[in-house]
Amino acid sequence: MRAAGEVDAYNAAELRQVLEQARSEEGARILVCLKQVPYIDSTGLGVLVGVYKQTAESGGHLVVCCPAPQVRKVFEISGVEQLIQLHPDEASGLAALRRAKGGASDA
Amino acid sequence: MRERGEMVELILPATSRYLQVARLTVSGVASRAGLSIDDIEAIKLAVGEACTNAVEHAYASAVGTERGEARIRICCGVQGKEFVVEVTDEGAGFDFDAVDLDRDVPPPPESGLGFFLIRSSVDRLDVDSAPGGGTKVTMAKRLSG
Repeated sequence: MRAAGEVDAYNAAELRQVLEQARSEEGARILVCLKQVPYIDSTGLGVLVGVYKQTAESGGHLVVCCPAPQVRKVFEISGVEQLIQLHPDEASGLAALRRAKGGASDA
Repeated sequence: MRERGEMVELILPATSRYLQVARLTVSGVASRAGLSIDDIEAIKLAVGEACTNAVEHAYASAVGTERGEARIRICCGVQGKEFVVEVTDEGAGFDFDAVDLDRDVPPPPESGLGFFLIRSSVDRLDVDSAPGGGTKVTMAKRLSG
C-alpha cells in the first residue's frame, strides 16, 4: 500500500484501518511505501509496529520501502528499524517479501 | 497567533486536527530563525510529540475539562543562543520523574516513545508537570554560529 501525507495522531487510525484490511488474509505479505510521507510520529510508528506484529503472528510479513531521510531517521532513533525492515525502493521491498517465509523478520 | 517580543505565541484547540498546524507554525518560525533543515525537522518532531501528549493524554483524562474548551499554548522563538519551544496545557499532568529517559533501548511506541523521541531531537528538555496541575514542556535547540 502507498501512504501519502504526514502521519500523526489525527490520521493514524486511517492508516491502521487500511493495513488491518491488508493483513486480514492469513500469511499476508504487505509492502508499505512511504515515498510520499514526509513526516511520521510515534503514533504512526505504533500503528506500523502493531500491524507488523499481528501480521507476523498470522504467518505473514510486512516491510517498509522508500522512506524519506527524515522518516528513516525517526525509524532509527525509535529503534523500530530493528524490528521492521526498511528498503530503499519498491523493488528491494518486493524481493524481500518474496524471500520471506512469514513470521519474524529475516533482516 | 501573535508575536511576543522575539517569541511567537499560538493557542490551538487541544485536538489532533491541529497537530499539523502546530508543527508547520513552529517549523516556519524556526526557518525564519535560521535553523538548518535537519534542526527544523528535529524540532518539528519534538513539537509534534509534545502536542500529541497534550491531546492524547493530558486532556483525555482531565476531570472537569470540556473537550471543546481545552487548549494548547505554544510559544517559540530565539532566546539567547537557543531556539526555544514551550508547549503548555492545563490538562491532567503527570509524574515526569516516572518517565525513564535514561534507557539505552527506546521504549515501545505504545509506552513513552514520544518523550524518548523529543529527548533525542533537542539539546535541552525540561518538563514541569504535576498530577492535576497541567504540563509545560520546554524544548531547545542550540543555534549554530
